[in-house]
Amino acid sequence: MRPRAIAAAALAGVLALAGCTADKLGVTGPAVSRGADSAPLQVSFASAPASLDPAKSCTGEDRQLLNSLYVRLVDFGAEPGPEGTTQIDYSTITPYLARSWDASDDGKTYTFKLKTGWKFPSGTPMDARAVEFSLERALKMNQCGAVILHDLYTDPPLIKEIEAPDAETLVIRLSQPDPQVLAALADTSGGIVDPSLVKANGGVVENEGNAWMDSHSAGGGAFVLQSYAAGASAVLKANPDYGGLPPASKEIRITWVTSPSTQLLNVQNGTTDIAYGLSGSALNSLKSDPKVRVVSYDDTQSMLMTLPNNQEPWTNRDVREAVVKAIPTEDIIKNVVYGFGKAYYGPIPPSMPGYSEEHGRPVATDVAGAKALIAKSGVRTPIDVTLDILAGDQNQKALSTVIQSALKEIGINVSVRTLTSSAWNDAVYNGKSQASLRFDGPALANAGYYLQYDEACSSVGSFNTGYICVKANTPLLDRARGTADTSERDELYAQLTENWVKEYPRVTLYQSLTPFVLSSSVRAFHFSSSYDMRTWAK
Amino acid sequence: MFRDIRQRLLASAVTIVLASFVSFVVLRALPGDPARLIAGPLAGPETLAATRSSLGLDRPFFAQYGQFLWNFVRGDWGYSFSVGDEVREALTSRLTATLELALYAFVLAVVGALVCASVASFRPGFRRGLVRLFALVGLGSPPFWVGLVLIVVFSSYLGWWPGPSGRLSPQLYPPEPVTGFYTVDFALHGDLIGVSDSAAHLVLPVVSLALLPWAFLTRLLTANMADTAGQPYILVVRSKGVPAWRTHVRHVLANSLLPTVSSCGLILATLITGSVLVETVFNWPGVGAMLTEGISAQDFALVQSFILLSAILYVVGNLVGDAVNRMIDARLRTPGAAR
Amino acid sequence: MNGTTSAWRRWPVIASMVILAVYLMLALAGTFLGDQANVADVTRTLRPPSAEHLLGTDGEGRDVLSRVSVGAGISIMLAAISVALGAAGGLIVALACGLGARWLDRVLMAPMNAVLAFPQLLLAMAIAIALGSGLTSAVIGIVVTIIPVFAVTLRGEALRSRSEAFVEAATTIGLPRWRIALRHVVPYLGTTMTVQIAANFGSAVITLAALSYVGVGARPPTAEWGAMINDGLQHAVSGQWWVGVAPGIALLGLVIAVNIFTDQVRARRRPAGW
Repeated sequence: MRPRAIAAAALAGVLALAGCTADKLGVTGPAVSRGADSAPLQVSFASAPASLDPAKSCTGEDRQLLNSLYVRLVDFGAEPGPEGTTQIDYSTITPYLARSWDASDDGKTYTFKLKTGWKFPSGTPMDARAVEFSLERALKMNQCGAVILHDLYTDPPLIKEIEAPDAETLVIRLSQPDPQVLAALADTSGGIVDPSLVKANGGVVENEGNAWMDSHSAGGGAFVLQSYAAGASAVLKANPDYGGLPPASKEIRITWVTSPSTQLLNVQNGTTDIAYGLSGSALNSLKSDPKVRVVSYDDTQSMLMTLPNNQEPWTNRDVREAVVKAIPTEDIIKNVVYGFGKAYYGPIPPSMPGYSEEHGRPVATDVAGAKALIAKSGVRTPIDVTLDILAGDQNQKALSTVIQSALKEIGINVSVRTLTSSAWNDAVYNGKSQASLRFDGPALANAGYYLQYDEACSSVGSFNTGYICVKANTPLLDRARGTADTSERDELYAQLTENWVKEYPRVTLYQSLTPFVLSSSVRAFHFSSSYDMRTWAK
Repeated sequence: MFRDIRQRLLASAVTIVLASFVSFVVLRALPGDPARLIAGPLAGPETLAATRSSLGLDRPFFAQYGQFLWNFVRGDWGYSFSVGDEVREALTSRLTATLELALYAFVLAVVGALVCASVASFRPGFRRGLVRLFALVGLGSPPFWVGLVLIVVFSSYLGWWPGPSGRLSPQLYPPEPVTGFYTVDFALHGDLIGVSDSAAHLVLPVVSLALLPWAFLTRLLTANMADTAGQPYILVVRSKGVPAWRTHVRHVLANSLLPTVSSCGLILATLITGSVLVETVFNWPGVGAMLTEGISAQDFALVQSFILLSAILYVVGNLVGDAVNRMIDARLRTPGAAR
Repeated sequence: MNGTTSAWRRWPVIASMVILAVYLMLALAGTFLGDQANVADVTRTLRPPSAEHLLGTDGEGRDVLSRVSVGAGISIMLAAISVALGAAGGLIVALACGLGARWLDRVLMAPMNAVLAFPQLLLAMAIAIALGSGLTSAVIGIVVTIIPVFAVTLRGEALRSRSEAFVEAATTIGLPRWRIALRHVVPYLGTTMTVQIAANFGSAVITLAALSYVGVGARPPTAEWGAMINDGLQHAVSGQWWVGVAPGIALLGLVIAVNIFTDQVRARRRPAGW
C-alpha cells in the first residue's frame, strides 16, 4: 500500500497546485510576460508541412516556413492590403540576393549580379556557387521544386544550364523564352541552401528527396530554425548573420493545431496572435470579437468540383452544364463558407492577372434549366456518381452534403466517399476518381502556369486531373505563355475563357478569400500564399 | 515451473511476431499510393518510381517484412514521411507526451477506483448509489465527447483550466528534457511556474482519459469486495473485534485486489487506445494524432513500428501482471494450474 | 433473484427497460424519416433549439432531432450486428479451443492473442480503411476486434466445463464431441455469453461512434452519432453547443441503459455482485 499512497499523494498535490495556480498564471488571459518587447509572436496553422525542403515544397503547408528560413535570388513585390496590412504583388519582381539582372534579346539567357557579403550561419558564403548548387540540386532531385522551377515546361525542360562564372555572377540559360522564369525563381522552390550542410547530411540523390532536409533548415534567411517538432511546433529566431533587413520579430513560435475548436479557443483567449485555417463558422463567430480582426485576402486558391471529362456521365456536355447550374454557389458562399469566398466561373480566378470580367462571371443557379438539360442530354436518370472528398476536412464534408442535396433534385444520386490522404491523392492524381472536391491553386500565381497544369490537353492524364481539354485553347495558351505583352496576353486569356466556359468542364464553387485572424496586438502583417513572416510583428 | 515460464515466453514471442505481421499486411491492404502522396501531384514517373524503390515497395512482400523485422531489432525503425523525421525520433519525442498523460490517468483511475470502491462496498446506501451512477456514466462515455464537454464547461465557460492548448502555455519554454515528462522535468529544474502550468494542462485530458478505466476498475473492485465481504473469514476478523472500516480496508480490499491487478495490462491498452481520441481533442502532441495521420497517409514505417512496440508493451504488461499475481496468490504457483 | 428482492432493487431494470424502449421508438421514428434527415438546407443553418427544431439545426441546416433519431436506429442495429457476429465467431473459436485437441487450441489462440495485443481502435480503424470507409467496413473492423474478447472468456469456461460431471458423463457414454459441444457446453456457456454480449454491446456503440468520429466509419451525410459529434466539435466553442452535445447525450443514455440492464443480468446470476 505504501508506494501507492505516495503516488496518490503526489498526484493530489500536483493537481491541487495546478488548480490554485491556474488563475495566477492567467491561463485564460494574456499571460506571464517576459518583457513586452521580447514576447515571441505566436502563430498557429491548421495543418503542418511534411517537409521543410525548398526542393520539395509541393503543398501550401510545405511552404509555411520556407520564405522565412531561405533566401531566394529574387522576390515578389508588396502592395497595400486591407486594414493597414500589406499583401503580395505578383506582378512585380524585386531584387533579393540578386541586386540586378538582365535578359538577353532572345529571352533565353538571364544574367544575375548578386549582392556580396551574404553568408549562411555556418560561415559558408552565400554566393553564385551556392545558388548554382541549390538550383541544380532541386532540378536533380526532380521533386515538386524542379517542376515549378521549369515553369512546367517538361519536354524539353525549361532550364538548360546554370553557371557561376564568378562569385557575383549567375547565368541561367533556358531552352525557350519564358518571362515567367523570374516568378519561378521567386517561388519557395528557389530557396538557396547551404551546400556544406547538404553535403554533410546525405548530399543530393537523383530523383529522390533528402530526409535530413525534411526536418532541418540549411538556409541563411531572416530566421534560423531554433527548434522543430515535426507536426507539432517550431521556434524561429532572428538570424544575426542575415544579410538583409533584420526581421520585425525577434522570435516567432509556430504551433500546428489540428483541431479547429482548439485553434478558435486559443484565439479567443489570446494565446495566439496570428491564426490561419479556422473554419467558416468559427471565423463568423469571431467577427464580433473586439480582441481580434479577421482579415481576408484575395487568394489564387479555388474550391473546385472536378468532373473528369473522360468519364461517364461527364463525357456529356449537357450533364456537366446541368450540374454547374444546379449547385447553389451563391448560397454556399453565403451560408457554408460564411462569405469567405468569391463567385466566378471559368479557368482563371478573379485574383489572377488574365481573369476576364466579361466571360468569367458566375453562372446563376437555375434548377429548372438544369432539369431540362438533363432531359435533353438523353442520359437516363437516376445517374449514380461517387464524389471523393478528403477525410477530416470539415469544409469538404459540408460542401459535399449540400452538393448531394442539390444534385438529387435533378436526378443525380451522389454518394460521398471519404478518403484518407493517401487514397485521395491516389484517386485524384492517378486518375481513378469519378468526381472530387479539390481545394487547389497554382504554386506560381500566373494564369499560364495554372492553365498549363490544370487545363492543357497535353497535361491530360498527368497534372490535368479534370481531364479538361478544350482543343481550340491549345494555341491560345501557348501564345499567352510566351508573350511579354500584357494586353495581348489578357486578350488571349479572354478568348480562352470564352471557349472554356461554353464547355462547362468543371464546377467552380468559389475562389478563396483567405482569412487570417490577427489579434489586436499585431502591428504588422504581410499576406502571401507562401507565408513570408519577415515583416510580421506585434 | 521453468517449463511453464519457457512456454509463456514462447507464446509471447509468437504473439508479438503475429501482431507485427498482421499490421504489416493490413497496412499494405490500405487503398492509396504513398509514393504519389510523398512525391506530390506534380511528380513524373521517374520520381514516382524512385520514391517507390526508396520505400522498398518494389521488393517482394516477404523480403520487405523480413527487412522490417531485422531493421527493427537493429534499432533502425525507418523514416516517417508523413512526419518528416526518423521514426525513432518521432516516436520517442511524442511517446513521452502520451506516456505522461497515460500514466497520470492510470494513477488517477487506480487510486480513484480504490477509494470509490472501498466507500461504495462498505455499506449500502446513498454513497453506493452515487458511485454506481458515476461508474455507469463513466462506462458509457466516449472519451472524445467527454473531452469536448469538459473543454466547453471548465475551459471555455468557467476558465478554471486551460483548454486544448497542448502541454504548456505557449509563452513558456519546454524544460530541458530529462525524463520527457514536463511536470517531472520542471520539478527537477526547480521551476514551479512550469510545474503548475504543465500540471494545469494535464488536468482535463487526464480526467477525460481516466474516466473509462476508472469506471471499469471501480465496478470490478466493488463487485469483488462485495463478494469478499460475505466470506466467513471476514466475519471471523470482525468477531475478533477489529473495527469495521479497518477490516474493510485491511482484509476485504486486500483480498479483492487480484482481478484488479491482473486487469492492469488491459487498462494500459485502453489508455493507449483512448489517448488516440483524447489527444486529438486536446491538441496533445502525443503519438495518437500522429498515428491516425500516419494510417491515413499509409506511413508504413511509422505505424508498423508503433504497433510492434505496443504489442511488446502489451505482452510484457501481461507477463508482469501474471508474475505479480503469482507473487500475491500462492494458489497460482502450483505447476500446471494454468493450461 | 432471491426473495429479498424489493421494488427498490428492481427499479433500475424497469428504468433501463423504459429508456431502451424510448430508444427503440426513436429509432423507429428515424426509419420513417429516412433520407429526409440528410437533406441539407443552407438557408437555415445553425438555428438554436426552438419549437420548430427541438434540438436546433446543424451546420448544413438539418434538423438535429431527426438526425439523432435516425442515428439511434443505426447505432442500435449495427452494434447488435457487430456483437452478434463477434459472439458467434468467438463461440466457435472457444469451442474448438476448449474441446478440441491441444494443438488446435494453440494454433487458434495465437492469432487471438495477436489481435488482443493491438491497440483495439487502431486495428479497427486500419481494417475499416482497408475495406473502404463506410459503415459495413466499420462493423467488420469491430467484429474482428471483438471475436478474441469472446473467444478468450468463453474458452476458459469451455475448459472448465470439461471437468463438469455432465460433460464427463456424456464423454464416457461416447457421444460425439460436436454433440457434446452443442447440447451440453453451449448451454453451460449461456450465462457468460449473455453477460459478455450485453457488456460488449455498449462498447460496440462507442467504438462505432469513435470510428465515425475519426472519419473512417459512416460516410457523409449518414446521421451516425460519432460523425455528428465530430460535426459538432467545430461549432462547440463558437457557441452552437447543441450540434455536438445532443448526439453525445443520446449515445451516453443508450450505453448507460444497456449497462444497467447488463448489471441486472449479471446480478441474476450472482446476487452478491453489482
